[in-house]
Amino acid sequence: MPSAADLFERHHRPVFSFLRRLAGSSEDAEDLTQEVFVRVLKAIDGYQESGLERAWVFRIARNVWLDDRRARSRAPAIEPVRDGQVARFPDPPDSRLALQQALAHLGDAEREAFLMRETGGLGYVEIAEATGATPDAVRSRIHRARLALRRTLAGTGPAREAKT
Amino acid sequence: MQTEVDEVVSAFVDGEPVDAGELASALAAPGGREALLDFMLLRARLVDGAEPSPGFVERMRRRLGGRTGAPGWARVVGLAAAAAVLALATLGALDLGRALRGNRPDEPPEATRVIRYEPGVDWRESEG
Repeated sequence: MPSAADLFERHHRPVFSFLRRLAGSSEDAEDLTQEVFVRVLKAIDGYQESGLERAWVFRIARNVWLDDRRARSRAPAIEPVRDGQVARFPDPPDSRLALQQALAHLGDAEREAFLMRETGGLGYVEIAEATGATPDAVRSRIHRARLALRRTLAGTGPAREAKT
Repeated sequence: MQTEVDEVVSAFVDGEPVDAGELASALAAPGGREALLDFMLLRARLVDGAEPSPGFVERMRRRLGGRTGAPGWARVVGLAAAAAVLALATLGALDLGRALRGNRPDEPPEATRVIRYEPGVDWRESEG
């Protein structure tokens, strides 16, 4: 059975990336990542190896994020852009901010599934395990997230304008 | 129809199993190849190389009891120092033992207690 230290070595970078995109800053992401692995340490004795180790860690990361958000009673760290704002200002100087705003504009389920895939590298089955959804639902959520981001980010950076 | 096309492309981008025929149809459909390119560009845009700070990682390793980032030479020096201390302690203990005994190494140790039996008092010879 892996130790909490083993799990930290294997997963702290993707967990940090996932939480950084959700929280919007590296400082907050480090605090949250610390809490994730403290919980891993507490729960490791009850962990049963099933080949979904990464999903187990990400389920904890998701819970930490949801608890933190509840505790702070906050919406996504960066306020969603208003409808039409991107169309009026299609090329903001900071495309990273535009991306963060676009992510904040997604629904919770779409955002967490998409970020688990893109920053954590989880497969659909793992995301389903971590979020309590089915793999088909995960596939649809990620697809919806991509379409929404494609629309929102059209013309705001290296991504070329969508033609749909 | 476009949504279904994009969803197959999206799953393909994620490395999930997709039907080869469906993927071929999706990429041949209007907008299919553009969707593939846009999804890949979006992925590239999310990668910014941000990492947790080294100080954070070290703190967590100590807290979780994992390996620390001490350089290799430092570990070698630490091990050598520990071995030297152990050797000195062993030699010191041997020397102390000799000093306490007060005799040379090839001599038997001094008796600390002598029990004497007197014939007729403590033991008797029996016949047979």
